[in-house]
Amino acid sequence: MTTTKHPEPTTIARVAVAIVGVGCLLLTVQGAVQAAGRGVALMTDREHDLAAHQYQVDFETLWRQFVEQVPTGSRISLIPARANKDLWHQRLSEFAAMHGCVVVQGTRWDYSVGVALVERKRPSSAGARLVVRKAD
Amino acid sequence: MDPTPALAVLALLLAGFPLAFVILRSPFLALLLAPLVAALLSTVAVVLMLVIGGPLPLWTALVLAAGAAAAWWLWRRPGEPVAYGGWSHALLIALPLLPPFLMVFEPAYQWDAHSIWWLHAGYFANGSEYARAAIGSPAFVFSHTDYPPLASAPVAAVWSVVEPDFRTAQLVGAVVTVSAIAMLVHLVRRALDRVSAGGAWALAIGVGLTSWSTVTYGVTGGLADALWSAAFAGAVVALLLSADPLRRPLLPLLLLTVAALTKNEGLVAAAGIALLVTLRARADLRRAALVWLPVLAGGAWAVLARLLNAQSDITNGSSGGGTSRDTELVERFQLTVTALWDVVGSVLVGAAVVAVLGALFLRARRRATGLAADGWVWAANGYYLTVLVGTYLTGPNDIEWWLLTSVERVTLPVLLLSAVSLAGWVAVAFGGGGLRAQSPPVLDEPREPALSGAMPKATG
Repeated sequence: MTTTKHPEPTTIARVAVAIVGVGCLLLTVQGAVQAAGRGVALMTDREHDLAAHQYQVDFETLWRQFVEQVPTGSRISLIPARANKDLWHQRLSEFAAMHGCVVVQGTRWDYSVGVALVERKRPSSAGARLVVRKAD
Repeated sequence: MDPTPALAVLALLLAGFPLAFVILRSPFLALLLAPLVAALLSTVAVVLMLVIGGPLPLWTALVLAAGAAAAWWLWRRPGEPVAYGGWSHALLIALPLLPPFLMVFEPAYQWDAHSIWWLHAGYFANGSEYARAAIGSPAFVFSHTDYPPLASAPVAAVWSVVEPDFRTAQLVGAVVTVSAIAMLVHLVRRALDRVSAGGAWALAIGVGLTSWSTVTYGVTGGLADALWSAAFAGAVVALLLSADPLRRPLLPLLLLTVAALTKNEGLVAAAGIALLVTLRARADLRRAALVWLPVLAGGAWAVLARLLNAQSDITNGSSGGGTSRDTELVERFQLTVTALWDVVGSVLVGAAVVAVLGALFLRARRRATGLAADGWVWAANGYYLTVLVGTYLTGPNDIEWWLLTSVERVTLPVLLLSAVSLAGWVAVAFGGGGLRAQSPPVLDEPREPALSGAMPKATG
């Protein structure tokens, strides 16, 4: 005659908790694994994400031109861009805040500032330039 | 190669190290905490500048001097090094976080980083008069000028002395955020003190890596969501999961303050935690009152922002045209639940199954592991989730646009707290022979003075 030894409920619960728990934790760290892979790709190839790289080049180019052409403390009026209006409006507002300029709407201004899109000479060169006009 | 980003990180480490060291009494862990302390100090400088006036570099210098004096005063008090504060422990925390941190090489182009956090840093760096005018300016209303200043303040402190550039801003934000994640890992490891070392470290690191779970760019892209979420989860671990919630309160209070001063939802979440900790430590309300200090700090910023005429996107609306107000509440609820389910559903259900199984069969083992009842963590998670759903339901924005642009970022605390709950139960399940002998049952009340380790003990 043989006897069957049944596992205790606590043991079954421990196994279930361990399996489901570890499985869920593995799900939550998937993002970190993806971030690591993407980070390595970005580190070894600056243009791995070309669209993002082009945005950065455009922002840095426009920021440099803003600092060179618009004096600190100026009152500036923003010219709406032909495309991506929100993007360029917010970037120029950001540059104004970083440079201590005051964005005015409709009232007296020292400079009007806008963004013109240009053709990129290379995939990683700037695709935008700053358009600045001094008040008469 | 421009040395500014590396010099800015070095400045953060130097600025925050003295206070970080006296809080933890470990030079290795203090290096991991220093950027977060520096961010908090620069936040104090920004707030003082806005209230009193003057240039930011002056206030930064004064606050750093005051911080160093406070560190000196605390250093002379009796205190002991925190557990798991050796160089090998610091490496065990830092090394696993490095691979996903490589996302910092992503171009600095994230929309919210530019339009919110770096724009704020820009006006803070230009001094009190300019910053006050900018916060109340209709020209910057898209930038959520009512948002708390902590994510912008360290960038502003750097930009107030060097030419602003986006790579420096991105690296500073990333280092401050990873500092909060490092403290989360450290606190989970401390909470699992009675579990076998290998298992406890694996679980603690797993919880920390969850910070990258919703969006891969969240930690290093210049955004603030991962920063406040990790700080919030760290505070929950220390105050609601650990056996002695108020034994060494400085680190959890610091983390809760960071959460409350980084985003508006961080303040709401901090208030919920303060309420739960007050309930948990109701036997000594005087000590529990400490957890309301971070809420007070976050509330003070909210008042200051309103006084400076900042407008909130929650109360005023920021996008979506006129259609959102016509959307039925039921439809908003359905869309919200669907979006939440897509991001957190599977993990949340898995964590709930584990919690129910654990509560039914493993409670005695949990007590031996030295962890508080899991219900506290679930109460915190449920509170935040309820607030989140309520905000989406009653907010003024177009619900589809709002969910599309935010749900992956604002659900990170839900996943972090789910991971904390999972880590607790998995530690209990795997505990087996690894559980240390002579484990006393966990107490929900503090067993030592609220500020032991930082304040002199009574000798009389």
